[in-house]
Amino acid sequence: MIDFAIILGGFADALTLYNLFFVLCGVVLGQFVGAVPGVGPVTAMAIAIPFTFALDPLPAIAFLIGVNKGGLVGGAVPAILINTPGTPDAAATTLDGYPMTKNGKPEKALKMALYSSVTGDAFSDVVLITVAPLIAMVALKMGPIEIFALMVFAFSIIAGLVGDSMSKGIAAAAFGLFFATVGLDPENSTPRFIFGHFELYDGLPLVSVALGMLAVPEIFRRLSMIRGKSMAAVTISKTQKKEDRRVSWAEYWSCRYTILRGSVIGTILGAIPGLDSSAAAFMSYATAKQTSRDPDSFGKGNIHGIAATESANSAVSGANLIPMLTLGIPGNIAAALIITALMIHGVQPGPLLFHEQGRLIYGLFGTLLMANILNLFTGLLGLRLWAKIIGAPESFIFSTALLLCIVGVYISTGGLFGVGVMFFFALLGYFMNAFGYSIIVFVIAFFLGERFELSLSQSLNILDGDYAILLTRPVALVLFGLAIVSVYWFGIRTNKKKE
Amino acid sequence: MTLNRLSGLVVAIMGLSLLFWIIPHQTEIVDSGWLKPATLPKITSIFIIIAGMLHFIFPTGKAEFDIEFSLRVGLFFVISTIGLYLMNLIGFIMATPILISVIMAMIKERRPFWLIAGILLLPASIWFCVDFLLNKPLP
Repeated sequence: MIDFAIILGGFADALTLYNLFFVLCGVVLGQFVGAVPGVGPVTAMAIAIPFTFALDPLPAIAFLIGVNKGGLVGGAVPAILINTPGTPDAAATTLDGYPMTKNGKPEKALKMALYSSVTGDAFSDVVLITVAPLIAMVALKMGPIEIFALMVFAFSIIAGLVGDSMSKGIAAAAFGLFFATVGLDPENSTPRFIFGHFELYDGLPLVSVALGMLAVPEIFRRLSMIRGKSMAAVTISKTQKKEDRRVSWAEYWSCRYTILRGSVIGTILGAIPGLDSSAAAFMSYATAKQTSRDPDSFGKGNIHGIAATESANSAVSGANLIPMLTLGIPGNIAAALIITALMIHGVQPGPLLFHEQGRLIYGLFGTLLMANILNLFTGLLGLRLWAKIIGAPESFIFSTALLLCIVGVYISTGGLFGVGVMFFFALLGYFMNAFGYSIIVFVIAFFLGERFELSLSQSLNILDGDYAILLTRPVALVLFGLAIVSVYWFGIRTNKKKE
Repeated sequence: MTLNRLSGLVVAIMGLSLLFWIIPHQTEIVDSGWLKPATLPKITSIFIIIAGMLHFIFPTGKAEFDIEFSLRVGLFFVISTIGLYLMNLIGFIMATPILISVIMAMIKERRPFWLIAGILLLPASIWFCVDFLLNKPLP
């Protein structure tokens, strides 16, 4: 029986000026660190945890949630303005965000990212508040075989992103998957392709590969184009129409299905422990492109591309709390840090949490909603500042971007080796781009690769040669079926249409 | 033979070198288990070879490779790599102004304000935010 007194009491606890202050501090800090490549909200949360000891549980968690949510918005800022994702979650946002900046519409791109991010986040929060226990039960049914089927489905969606050459797309995906196998193999823990470097035991650092493939080649390209006096990184005409600076209601409404689809993808993937928001963003982008009436405009500054990625990666943050609060399983690193903070304050997450700490949990839900609203208003104020910054000349902007990439990767990987790896992938990314091999397919395959191999290994061990067991796994069967449909729909049918 | 077609051959050769040279030397042979360490890498390298050969025989898409421009990109790559080496040698605070100075010289930035901002203020502000505020050590 739902006790409305507990629900109302929890929300009342949350909606105080005291909590509002901590959520605001968290959001502002999150947006700032999210915009600095490599630092990210997770680092800021980890640093902030000891400082929350002195606070009561609710403001402490409210602050950490603010940092996490603010970081999701902040990560999109450098992704859009200088093609350098502030966080790995924002890697997919560069695909259409940066072209929009180059087209002289950075403010529009930033605002669309903000609105989509807040919408996606709010959607997953509402799902979390209303149907968390139900979704947790479904997520719990996702064993290794179902996860593997989900990975196969995710790979099948890549078929829609290979562009005008299927052979190049397959090669790019295979290379991405190959690089994902660097490090210890999941079954026997034997080292592979480490070439004597112990740093590679954990595999290639995600942040090195993402920045190396997506950001650094573009920085070198733009620096190489400058001969003599450099112009502003983005020239915004003073006579620019008002429509190019803002997102009208009609534009936002035209993206409603894209945002909804992204939010659903993000919420579903976020509820499954271990799947990160980068995968959700790329899957959402791929489906948005494939279902668009004008797929060729994607990658050239289509506002739907930003809406798709930002709604999906932000929807993951709320959904990640579903397995955490209901089962005690953290969905990602940010959720793990929130669990740590809860436990430090004497709260044990798990199935009994709603029963034992109902008021605190509904207070937490209240802070989630509060963080969303503050994210929107703080974001709108902050975006004006960011949009002014790119009025600086290219020489300064791209030198800054290069330095931020180096520092960001150094901090994330804990050494210069990771920066070296980033430069290796920058070279690879430059050549792949020059010869028309899809970088985005490579990056998606790399992101999914590790989880793909792990779930394949676990599935093969569970099946133990008896493939009839698959028939007893309806969720996996549905996902395999969807993968077949998606290869036909996104790959074969689209190619036939082009011909 | 076009560069686009040739890229397929290069990819196929890379796939072959992975399959017959790198994978055997960089993976361990294991007798137990369903998924051997080399299984997935081998599958991916076979896909790379097939895709490369297919592209060599039936080229699709296009390649836009400008040698002069790529050499300039390569120069920035070399400068950045040397900068990285210097960071390891003399530290971030000393190496970064040198790296940015060289980049600014390469792109012929002459305006004093932006030179000071890039060479001095930028490294100093990064050091302040990362090393001082966040307490994360820089190289």
